Amino acid sequence: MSAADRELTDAELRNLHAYHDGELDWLSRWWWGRRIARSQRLRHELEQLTELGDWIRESESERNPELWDRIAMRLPAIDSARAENSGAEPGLVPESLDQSPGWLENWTGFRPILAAVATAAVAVVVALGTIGDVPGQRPGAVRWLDTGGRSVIVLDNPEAATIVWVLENPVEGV
Amino acid sequence: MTRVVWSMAVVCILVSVLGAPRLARAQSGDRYDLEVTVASISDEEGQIDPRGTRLDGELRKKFRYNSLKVLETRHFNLAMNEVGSMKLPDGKTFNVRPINLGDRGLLLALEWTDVLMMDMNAMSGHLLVIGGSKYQGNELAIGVEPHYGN
Repeated sequence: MSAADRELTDAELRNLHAYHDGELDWLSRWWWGRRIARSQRLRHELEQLTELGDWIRESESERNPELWDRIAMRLPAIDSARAENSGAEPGLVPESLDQSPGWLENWTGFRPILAAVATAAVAVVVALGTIGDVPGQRPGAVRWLDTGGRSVIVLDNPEAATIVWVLENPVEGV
Repeated sequence: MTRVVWSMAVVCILVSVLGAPRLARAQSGDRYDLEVTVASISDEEGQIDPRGTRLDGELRKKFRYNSLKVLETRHFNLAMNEVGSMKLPDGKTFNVRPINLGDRGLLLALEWTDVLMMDMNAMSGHLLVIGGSKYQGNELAIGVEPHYGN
């Protein structure tokens, strides 16, 4: 069985889902972006995930409205998380480069340059002391919230606590 | 020979860059401790339950009440994507699931049935307080505090 035909491992599927959902840190996302660009199998899986998400958004299924509504309601949060991470991608390999699988191996003349760039990148990271930190990001961040239409107060203190308080509105005559 | 050497150099560099954060997370353990405290807060005169000191410390900054009573505490030790579930005094259910560990903290999915569903990032020791559901004339509050990386 060739590398293109083999089934994806559980770890690969998990990471692919995380990549699709925008849940990977910027470095992992960059790494998986490269792998996906070079692997037709991974790209196919990613396309299927995207199509499934699109179908769910467009779906007006009546088979289990509660279930599909709950899934569909979470998708905007995934989209926003993906949008957050997409701006931090440092070097996603463009699709044009996947025309020749193994392009890196064929570019032997660029290998020393690539090694030098990678070394410099490591030096920069070590000097800065951070990997993946994005200025302005805070702990305790609410990424998605659904209170079923009720009003809610969100008090986010990154130094101590996050408070989410639902204001229950009594409904009469229903 | 030169190709082999350069290949090994690139692989070593990339592994050190990419592997270090993952190794650190693996060393911190694949399971995450979550302390859940369920409390009832009231305008009636009363005491602040010592078990809810931290909860009270945060709520008191924003809300006015006279008493706080801890109804239940639970300690969950969950693997990634494992759901921790507990029945609440109001008959509803509280579910919590670690989804991902990233640089912004532990991404948690939380559900208080018929009250709210939410996802949020929380660093170790960061307290999340969810509240507003009525119970016996008082307000229910749930405190969730993750601990990881020890």
